[in-house]
Amino acid sequence: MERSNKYRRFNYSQSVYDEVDESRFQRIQFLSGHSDIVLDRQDFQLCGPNNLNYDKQLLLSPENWHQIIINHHGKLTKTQILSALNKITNDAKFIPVKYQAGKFQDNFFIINQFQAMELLFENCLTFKVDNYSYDLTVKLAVSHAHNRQINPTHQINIAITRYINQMRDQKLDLSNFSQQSKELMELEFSLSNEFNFEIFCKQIVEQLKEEEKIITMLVLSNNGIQYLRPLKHFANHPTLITISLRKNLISSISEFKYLQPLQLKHLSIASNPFVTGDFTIINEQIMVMLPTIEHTDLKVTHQYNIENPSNVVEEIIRSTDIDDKFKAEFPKREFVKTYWNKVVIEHNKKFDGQKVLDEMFWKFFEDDLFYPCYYVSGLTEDSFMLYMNFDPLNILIQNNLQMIFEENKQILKFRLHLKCGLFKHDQVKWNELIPKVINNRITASTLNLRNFKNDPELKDIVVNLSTNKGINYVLTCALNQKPDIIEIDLSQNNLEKTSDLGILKQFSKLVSLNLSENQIETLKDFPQNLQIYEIKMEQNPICDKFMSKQHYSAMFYVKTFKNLCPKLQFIDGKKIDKTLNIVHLQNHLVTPKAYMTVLGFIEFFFKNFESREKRELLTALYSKDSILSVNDDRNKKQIFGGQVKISDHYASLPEYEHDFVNFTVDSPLFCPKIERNSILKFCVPKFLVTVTGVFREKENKEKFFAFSRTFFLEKDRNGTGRATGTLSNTFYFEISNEIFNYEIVRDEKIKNKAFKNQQATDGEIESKFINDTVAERFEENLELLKQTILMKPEWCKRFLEEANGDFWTAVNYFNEFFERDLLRNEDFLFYDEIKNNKEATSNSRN
Amino acid sequence: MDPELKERINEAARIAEEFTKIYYDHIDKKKSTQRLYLDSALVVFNGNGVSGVEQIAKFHQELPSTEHTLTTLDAQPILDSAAGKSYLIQASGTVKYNNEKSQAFQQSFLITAHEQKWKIVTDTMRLQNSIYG
Repeated sequence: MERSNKYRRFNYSQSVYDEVDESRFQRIQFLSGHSDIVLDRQDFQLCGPNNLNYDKQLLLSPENWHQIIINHHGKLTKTQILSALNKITNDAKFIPVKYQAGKFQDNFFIINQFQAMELLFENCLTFKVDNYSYDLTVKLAVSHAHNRQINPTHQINIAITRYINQMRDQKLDLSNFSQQSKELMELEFSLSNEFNFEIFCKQIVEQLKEEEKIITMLVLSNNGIQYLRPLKHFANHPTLITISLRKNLISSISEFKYLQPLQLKHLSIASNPFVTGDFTIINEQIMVMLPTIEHTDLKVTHQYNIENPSNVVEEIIRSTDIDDKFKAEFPKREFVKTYWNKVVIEHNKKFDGQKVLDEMFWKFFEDDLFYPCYYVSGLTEDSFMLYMNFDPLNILIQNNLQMIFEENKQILKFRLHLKCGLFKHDQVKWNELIPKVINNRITASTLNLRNFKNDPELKDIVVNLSTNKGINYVLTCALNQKPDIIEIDLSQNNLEKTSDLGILKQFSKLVSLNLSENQIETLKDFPQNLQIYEIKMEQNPICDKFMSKQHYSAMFYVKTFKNLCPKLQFIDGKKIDKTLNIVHLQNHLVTPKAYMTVLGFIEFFFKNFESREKRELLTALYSKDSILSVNDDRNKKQIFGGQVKISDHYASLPEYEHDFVNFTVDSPLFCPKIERNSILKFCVPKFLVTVTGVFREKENKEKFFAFSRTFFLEKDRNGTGRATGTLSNTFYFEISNEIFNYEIVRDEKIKNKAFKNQQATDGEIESKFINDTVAERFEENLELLKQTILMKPEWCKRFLEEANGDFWTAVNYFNEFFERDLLRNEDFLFYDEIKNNKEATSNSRN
Repeated sequence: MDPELKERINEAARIAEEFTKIYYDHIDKKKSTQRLYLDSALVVFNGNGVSGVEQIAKFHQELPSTEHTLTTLDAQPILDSAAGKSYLIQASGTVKYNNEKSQAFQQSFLITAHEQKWKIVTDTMRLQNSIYG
């Protein structure tokens, strides 16, 4: 099922609800801070394909929220659904709110869009995808609207205003508008709907006028735009001369006639469905339609000028020219260094240029230095230049200028143009340029080769470090320039085999090696006895292997590297523990979904527990069935049953301070919903959390206690929401069991370290996230976020950057993306493990 | 205290004592821990998660030699009737790895009756000094 591959949410320990769970919809919460939609109206009207009579009053009233449920039976993706619905509602404003995806049904809310609603009814509450028909269920007037709730049109206006205020150089960049705008996080605003696009364009023109700003360039790339008529509004904004419409869904060139009233000079139109065939013809058509256009982005650029003196004739060799005699004689030829030779890849659009190169590297040129220069992609052919690389030419000839792709048996043909141009001194010379760039990458005793292949200076050369020769050439260059390098960063270089790294042993002073973000799958032939202290291996396939269900053990991971490099002390930025070879992680949560709930609870509980005055707020967390047991270090055990006794006991305790900075939190069980297939068949949702840390009495700050406190929490049976504050935006939980052990700290190490980070921050949990410099804080938050949401670093970075470095906002963004199914499984760190789990589950179901 | 609750807590204490005796005996003598866990159990060892009974057994085999001594043990019944008989156990004490200096540790378990045997659902362990690791 394609849906399950692409859009399954990250279900680590909990499954997606199987059918519409009424209780789930009691309150629709908004992370943007807008008031909840409360589904408290019992008198809503239920409509479906078999019941199309609706109460027009209900439909027309701007005061009503309507809920639309899509019965897709697990066969459609969210994108397919929204694109079908946008097609139906193309002539009306259509902005779904709070789209929630489910296994068999998705649903969203609509307000004040009666034309779109009427269009849905006119289509008999059905829609078609690939000739199959699907049903909608509509609940009219499920909730009363009020003005603190989200207003879709208003959100769009705010987003536009923000972009206008932030723009620079008269360039308004609205690429991927609906996904990039935080204001639209909880909406599905698609510009592929013509009416939506119309409101959008009108609003931009009006606001520009109001703010008295002008734009010369408008970027609308990647917005799913199909129709261009709405752009006519910009006729009122004559300064606009450049529009980018790249990566949209414009399928007919005739749409461009709507741009006639504008006085455009430049137009970017690549990557649209109508762009096929000869670029020259398309350009001509556009320019006939829009006479003011000077050029479009569809053109073949010639960045280099390789040409021959008139007396030299280039020799063109095709695969049909090759016979055995030719093959035998070719290696005997004498090549002249002063010429360029051109290799043309006749891919006829069947092969991707990057793929061709990748295959060529590992298949043909593993043992040769091979530096293609001036790589140019074309519609039917790609080509590159070779200078001084003669062996690759011979290899191509010996293979009959053909390459067969194993997987689909397709044959790719090459064409050689020998002596196609005279080498000139201002042209790129790889054997001088690469050593020069390496020299630039050496600072003090550090060699930073991160993402070497994309170095701007190497833009005219295709550099690949994933071959033995490729990496050895580069590292030898570095070794010749500076043999006493201490630190080498080889991250982001598509390295595959550690067996190619033998040369690292020649760096006798090497201490730190960064191999992260590569494609290393095996440690076979890893250079023996490297004397390094630190290694970084994050984000390599090999890590997934260790993390996969079969092998997962952090200790095994650490041990493996410790065996390879005996002096190792840090791995992936974490210190290796002396006795156990295990890296301690601060928190362990069984699923990232638990984060807000667990941390929310801990913050609420411990902050209030500290002060006598606030402690009574905790009473609401206990019920008559709660049990609390306390074990102190004199082995005295006390048991309290029920809310009253627990609260009395708390009232008798002195004031405390906790070292929040060094709390460790483990939540091994988190079931916020009842699941039929869960480990334990609970009556009510539960989660388990253990907190370990250090506290002291406020009146006696010299004496530290180490504690471990295990809470078993369950959903408040009365549903009265007695747990307020931080818990209110998650679930209403109460404590059913609590075990509290503590003892005096005797360990000197702990005594020395406890409460040391505390002074500045005065016991706030947030102090964990406060640090000296912004950059340090960002790094620290990033690390924490990685551990928390278990996503790959590029995502963590994205969330954190979006949140201006604020940890909690970043977590919020994550939750929002998670809810909206915007995250792919492979974006998570433990993708393979989940995949295995899922397979195991589906096997057991079968 | 309510006598019924008292009885249930006493029962929990008995079960916890029997259970931990077996558990630490298996760990310290390097017996396979496979049959102590539910298939889907989760061990969190100083923040490192290991799930699945086979991986857990392998994990325990990989540990250096251990010697656990308990100082406190506490247990409570889980009152949710649908959960079957389940208990929350929290133990603390000291542990020696490879006969080195002993260190304080805390451990909590959620155990449940499964086919007439006690099985661990979750097992969470922290070394006290790992807090400041």
